[in-house]
Formats: sequence, C-alpha cells, structure tokens
Amino acid sequence: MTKTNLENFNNIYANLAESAYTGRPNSFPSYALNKNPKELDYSQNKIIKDDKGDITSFTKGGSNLPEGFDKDGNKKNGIVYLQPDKTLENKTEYYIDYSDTDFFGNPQAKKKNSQKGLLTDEKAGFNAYFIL
Amino acid sequence: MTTQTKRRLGIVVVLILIIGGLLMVQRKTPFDIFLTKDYTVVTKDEQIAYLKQHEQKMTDYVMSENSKVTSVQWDWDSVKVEEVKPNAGGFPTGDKYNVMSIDGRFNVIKDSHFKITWQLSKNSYYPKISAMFFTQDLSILNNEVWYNYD
Repeated sequence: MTKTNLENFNNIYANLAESAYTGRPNSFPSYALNKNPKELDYSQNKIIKDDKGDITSFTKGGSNLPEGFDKDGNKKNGIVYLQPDKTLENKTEYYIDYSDTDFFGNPQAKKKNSQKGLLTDEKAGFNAYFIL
Repeated sequence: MTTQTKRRLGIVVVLILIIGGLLMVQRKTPFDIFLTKDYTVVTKDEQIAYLKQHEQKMTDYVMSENSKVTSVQWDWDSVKVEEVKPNAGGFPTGDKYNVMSIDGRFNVIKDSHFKITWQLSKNSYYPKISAMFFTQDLSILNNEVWYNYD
C-alpha cells in the first residue's frame, strides 16, 4: 500500500496534521533544521514523484483558507510560519555495546548523538512543531 | 609429449606464476582496481559525480519552476540519502524507501535556498534524474524569516 495524501489543501487542520510526517507535502521534518521561521503557502499546488518520475501525489492548493500575512504584510490566505525550536541542543551520550566486541571479546564503548529541546526529544522519539 | 616438452612447460608455468605474483605484489597491472575497490558499494562521491554529469538537466528544471531564476548554484556537499518509512497518520505502513536530496541556491543570492529530492528505486544508488521534485520551495531569507520566492 502506498501512502495516500490529501487531494487538496482546503482544510488547514488536515494540512498541518499531514505535514507533520516525512514524505508528505510541505513536510515539516525537512524544514525543522532551519534556524529561522519558514513561510509555508498552502494555497499552492504540491507534487510528489516516485522513483520513475510519475507523479504519485498531486495536492491542489487550498481555497477558503484562514488569513495569513505574506512578506510585504499583505493579507493572503493559507500562509503559515513554521517556527524553529530555539531550545534545541545536541546531546552526546556514551554507552556500552555488548553486541560489538573486539578481538579479545571486550564490549565496545559507543557514542550516540541526539537532539533535545522544547519541541524535540530524539531519544524518546518525540517531535512537535510550532506554527504561527 | 616428450619429457623435454613437459619440462619446458613446467618451467614456463612456474615463471608465469612468479612474474604474476611479483606484478600482484607491486600492484602495477590494470586489473589492480578489482583488488582494491569494492564495486558492490557505491560511494557518495560517485553519486555526486553522477549528479554533476546531469547538472544541466537539474538546473533547467529549477529554472522552469520560476521564470525569475536565471542561475542556480548547487551545494554538492549537501547530497544526502535518507530512509523514509511511509506512514498513515503515524502508523507505519508499506515498504521503506530511500530518497536522495540536494540543496541549492539561486541567482547568486547568499541567503537563498531550495531542496530537490529523488525517490530511489529499490537497491538502486543512482536516481532517475527526470524524477526530481521540490521538497523545499525556492525561498529567500528576509528579516530572519524564510519567505517563498516569487
């Protein structure tokens, strides 16, 4: 079964819920590493292609979306801003890997990097997004 | 076959083995690449080289997205292959697949950015170039906010 994306962006709540996952239109995770807020326009069409180049998902830009503001301060429907997690920190942890032993059978010490912030806890597998 | 022929044959075989062994140790033959390089593993450099070969196609695609884009600067170091697990509202579904992505800038603007992505076929390391699509729109940094370029 392949993933099924929304046909159109008419419902802003459905749009935001969908975009919270990877591989979806306007996917937040891909923008989450930005240090600055990112404008997302749900009144625009979005396409996703498969490995052969066929369009597997065409999401039509939404109509009657809630009002937002574009860069010139003009009112425009369907604009939201994805906010970065400014509390995000890189954490390094050391652990002993018993499945990986050296020549003498000693377990190895391994390093693991993870990110933690108000909206993200990589270790716990938690991710949230702040939209304005 | 006389004894002399057998003896000559024996000497020739021994000589070939010795010369071959010496050549192998010195690694000077055209076949050495098979000894030193693992052809079953595709390195990132090879993937980048493949994309560089098709740079013009990629640039044309980005320029066709917006008529105001006159030049594209690719960030070759940003080439990345990631695994995507399809999901239905958070529940894993379907087979995992790999995507390759590359970042770029346009019109020689320092604070500009876009990202195009390919979905890779199963067991494939090179994408079909024409299968690219935008995962991050053309955007420029203005007052510390990334706005869509239009």
